[in-house]
Amino acid sequence: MRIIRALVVEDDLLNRRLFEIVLNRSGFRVTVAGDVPEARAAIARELPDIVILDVQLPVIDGLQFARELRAAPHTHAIPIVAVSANAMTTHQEAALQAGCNGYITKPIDTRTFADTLNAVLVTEPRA
Amino acid sequence: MDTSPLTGLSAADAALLVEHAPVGLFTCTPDGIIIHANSAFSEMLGRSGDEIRSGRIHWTLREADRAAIADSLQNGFAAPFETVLPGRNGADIPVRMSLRLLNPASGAPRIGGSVTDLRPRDESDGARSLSGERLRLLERSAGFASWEWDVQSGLVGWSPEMFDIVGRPERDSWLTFAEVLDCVHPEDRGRFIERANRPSNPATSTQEYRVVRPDGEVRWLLLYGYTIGEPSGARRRVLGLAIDITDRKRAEDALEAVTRTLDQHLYSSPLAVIEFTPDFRVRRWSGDAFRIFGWNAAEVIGMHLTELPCMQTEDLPLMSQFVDDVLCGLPQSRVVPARNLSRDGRLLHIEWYNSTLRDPGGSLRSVLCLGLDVTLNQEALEALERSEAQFRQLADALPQLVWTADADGIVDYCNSRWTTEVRSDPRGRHAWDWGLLVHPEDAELCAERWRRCVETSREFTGEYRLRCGPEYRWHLARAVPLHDTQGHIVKWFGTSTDIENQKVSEAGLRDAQSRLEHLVVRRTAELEQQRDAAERANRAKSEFLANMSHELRTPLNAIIGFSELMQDGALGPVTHEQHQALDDVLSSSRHLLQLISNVLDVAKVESGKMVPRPEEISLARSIADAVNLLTPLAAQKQIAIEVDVEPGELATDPVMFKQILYNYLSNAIKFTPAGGRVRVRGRFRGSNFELEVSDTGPGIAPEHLSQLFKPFEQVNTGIAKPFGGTGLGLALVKRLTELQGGTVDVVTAPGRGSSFRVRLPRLM
Repeated sequence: MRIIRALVVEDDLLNRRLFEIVLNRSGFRVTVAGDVPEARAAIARELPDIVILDVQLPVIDGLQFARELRAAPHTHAIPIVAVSANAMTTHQEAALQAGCNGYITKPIDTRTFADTLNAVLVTEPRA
Repeated sequence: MDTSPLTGLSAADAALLVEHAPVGLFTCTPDGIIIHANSAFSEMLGRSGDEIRSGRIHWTLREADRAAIADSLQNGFAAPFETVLPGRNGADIPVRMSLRLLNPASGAPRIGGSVTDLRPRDESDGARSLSGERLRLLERSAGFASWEWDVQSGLVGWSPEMFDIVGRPERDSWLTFAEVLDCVHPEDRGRFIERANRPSNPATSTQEYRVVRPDGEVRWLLLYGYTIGEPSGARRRVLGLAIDITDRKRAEDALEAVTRTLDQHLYSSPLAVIEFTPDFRVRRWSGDAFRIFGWNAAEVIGMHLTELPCMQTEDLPLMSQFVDDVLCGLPQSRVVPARNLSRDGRLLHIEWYNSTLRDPGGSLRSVLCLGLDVTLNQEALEALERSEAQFRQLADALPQLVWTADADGIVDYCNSRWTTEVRSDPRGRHAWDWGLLVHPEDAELCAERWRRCVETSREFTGEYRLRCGPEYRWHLARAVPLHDTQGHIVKWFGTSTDIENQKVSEAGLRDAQSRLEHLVVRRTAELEQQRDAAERANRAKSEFLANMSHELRTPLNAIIGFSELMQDGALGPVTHEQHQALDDVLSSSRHLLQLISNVLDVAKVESGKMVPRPEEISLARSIADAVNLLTPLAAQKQIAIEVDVEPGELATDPVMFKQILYNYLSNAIKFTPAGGRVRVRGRFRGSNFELEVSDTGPGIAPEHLSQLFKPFEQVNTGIAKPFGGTGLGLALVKRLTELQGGTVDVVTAPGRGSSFRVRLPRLM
């Protein structure tokens, strides 16, 4: 079974650590980025299989980055799951419109989070 | 005798002629009483004139006398008849008599009679010779001639005056009939011969013939003949008088010519030409009389003035006065306006031009009345007067100054308001120059405008201040020219309306309006500022709430996440006590999360961002989902949740429905002591679905009920504090319910628990 490479873009250090632990426990190989420039750098080094993207990011908005990924040929097929502390439906719609494949509100359920990601990967297999 | 039977003879001459005529002449009443008699008559009866005039002479009226008098009264004359008159010694005197009605219209009827003595010739000759000398004297003084024709011999005797008239040398011998005839105008000879051969009937006759003098001059003679006959009836002699009437004839001819011309004029006149006899009977009805009145001449000729159908009964006294005045010879007013009637009953306005015609002696010959029909003029005049009166009445009633001016603009009328308001009379002034009445500042503009109107014949409109007593007042003036058919101005009609009050109120209104506008602008600006501020504040609040939600959720995510990881032993082994402690952390964290969600939801409802999205939901499943979420919480306090819901479906927003039930339930669990009971009951009632969540909690005092569903209100802080919470749950329920057209209420009492209810329409 191939190891799934996940890129977590999350500005909050504690949450970044939480995602890292939860995903490592589920067998993901995790790369973390604190903002969009770090995320770009990470993608430049290695393309991930899935991106876990916090919507509210400093400097450059998470959805802006999602549109970037969708626009670029080598990244346009990478599944993106938006994670947001904002529970409003308008935010969810905005995220899906920006090209995200899933939307999860914080707080996340640590016991089901990996399953949710796997479900997205099954529905949106990498081209 | 007051009238002369023969024009050209003075009354005195005529009287003299009658007195000395060789025939008995008298006048009597219809009863036969003799009033006057001439000398021949008195000689015939052998009585003095005084005796006869005293009325002491009566003749015995015989049947023939009565018939003759009746005839004369009826026809104007009676054929000669024979009767007897009482002589001096009681002897009857046989006479031939003819009677004639005299002057039938003036006063009591009189009958004139001529009497011929039928006694043997000798007697009468004797009587005649008595007066012979006197007749000669009379002829000489009066200028008339006498003649005598002996019928048997055919010879004619002339008096010297007769020779003089016909221009023949005088001679004593008798003339032959042929010699006489030779003097007669050839054209009249036939008539003369014919008359001579015919016995005279009546015995006296009057004829007019022309004679030709040797020098060719034609003269007219009036021959008066009296036939003396034998008792057998054959004529014996004819005695006569001759009067030269040439001058009169000439005058008559001239008069006739003039009269004919006049008649032609009168007949074709547009006037009614009505001529009355001296006794005021219609003699002539001509000109336009028929057209004007409608009666033709045949219908009215002979009618008395007062009987004329065109006269109005009420005018009778006036007419009588007119008649009397004419008869008395009083001068008549030449033009008399009168109202008459036409045959078809119309009222006519006639102007009468009356004149009288008198003969040289002053006697009335005729009364001529010329009538001009001025009905149309009069009606037009009356209409004009009415219209004028109406105009003035209207003008005085108008709340305006009204005036009219002639073509030159000179004011000729003003209504009464000028006196009461302007206290000035503009009459005689120029309409476009009220002078000092107009405010100096407005005068020039006003005059200029007037000039243009007069030049272009257009109506004038202008506003100016007019001096009304002590003050100037604003006036709106209008003037309209009236044109004749040629387009020339004949009159100006003008009004001037006091618009001072309008001006003042207009100004006041403008002022008030501008103040109001200013106020509105300022207020609008203020409101806009307030609105902007409120919107900014609201946005700020929403942003704050959204941020707060985000800022709180992020650390909660870490807290909850790590707690779960620790509990799961992902971070190393945990003791039982540590596991219990992590449960408390998770429980509190989730509660905090719930509070944050509620705050956010209330904010969303208030900012109108939350819109219900109804769908058909299964009540059993939706309620079970909400109950299952809270079952662990209830289990911790050993609280039993009973569910009793009528199965069915409801059209509602599923998320909101769960939030409502979740909040009611968590509230109930929170306030119910351990070991208590919470019951969920659902029923369809009419068009509503009613959901009730009852608890066995402490209940709520009535005074707190009004605060219950308001956000951030803490009910009875003393009790609520131990249970925590922001009080947002009920506020959120109320808002979510109302968003869907439902209502909330509560049945509660302290110590009796609470039943919170929500009523949602079955179909949204």
